Amino acid sequence: MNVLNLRITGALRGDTFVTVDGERVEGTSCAIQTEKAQVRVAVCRYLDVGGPLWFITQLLFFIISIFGIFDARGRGKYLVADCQTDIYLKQTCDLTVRINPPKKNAKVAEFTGDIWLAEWSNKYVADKRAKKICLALNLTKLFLALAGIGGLIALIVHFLGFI
Amino acid sequence: MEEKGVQAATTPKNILARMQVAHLGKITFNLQFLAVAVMAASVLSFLAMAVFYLLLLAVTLVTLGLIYAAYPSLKDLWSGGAVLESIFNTLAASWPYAVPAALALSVASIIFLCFDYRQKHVARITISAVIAVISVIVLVIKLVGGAA
Repeated sequence: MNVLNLRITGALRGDTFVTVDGERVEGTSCAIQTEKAQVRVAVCRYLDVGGPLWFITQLLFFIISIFGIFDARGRGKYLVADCQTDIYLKQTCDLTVRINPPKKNAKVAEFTGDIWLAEWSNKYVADKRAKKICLALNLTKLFLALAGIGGLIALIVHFLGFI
Repeated sequence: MEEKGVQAATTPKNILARMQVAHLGKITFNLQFLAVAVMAASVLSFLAMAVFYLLLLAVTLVTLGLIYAAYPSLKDLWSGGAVLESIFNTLAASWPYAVPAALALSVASIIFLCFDYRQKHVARITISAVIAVISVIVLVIKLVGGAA
């Protein structure tokens, strides 16, 4: 029986999580017991990008936050974590997975510990569909902002009696 | 071996919904500072006038009045009190809107942020709670003061 003592640190926000052989790891540390000689550790990330309802919600948030002035800045909304690593176990192993914040082509995670590993992929990649949606959203926001500024100027001019 | 990470299409709807609620929580958290600023300006408006005139007096004393010789237009600031007074009076009268708005936004941000079980927003919730308490205190003082 092999034991993998897993510890997760770094930018482990709500949208990022670690799986071991497809099983999601809850919390920031756990001990996994297995008969296998190797396990697949993957880091996954939920994208904050959805369908038409999500799009409308984002526009509503944009207006509520006074044209984005008070909006929360989200980084790498369209970046997906592509991180697959095989860990070779020998009795009891300690593994620390340090997750990096999302940045295009940056490493998703650093693996440290007394282990042998084979890294198949480890970088943040852009999800094409999500990127297109984000681009469309930003363009719509820009037009909304321009319309808002135009409306505001028209209101000011109207109330000041220039028209 | 060629398994992909979680893609946009597979983000579960309930998680996406919670993300949106948390997002709204962050927006209300940011917005409450606007309400707090108006609230502070409203509550401390009586001080603002005094601070303005004290500042003018300090500038006059420090420069021994010579600043008015160099910039005669600065004398107008002393007579600009009427305009300032009307601005401060408007601010002072805005508390019935600013204080409940600050309270509502702070409470809303606490509720929305608590929905996000994936991430603990301890700092944001703490700050919102402090602002909510301050808003309640200001509201009570204003209401009691108004009734008295």
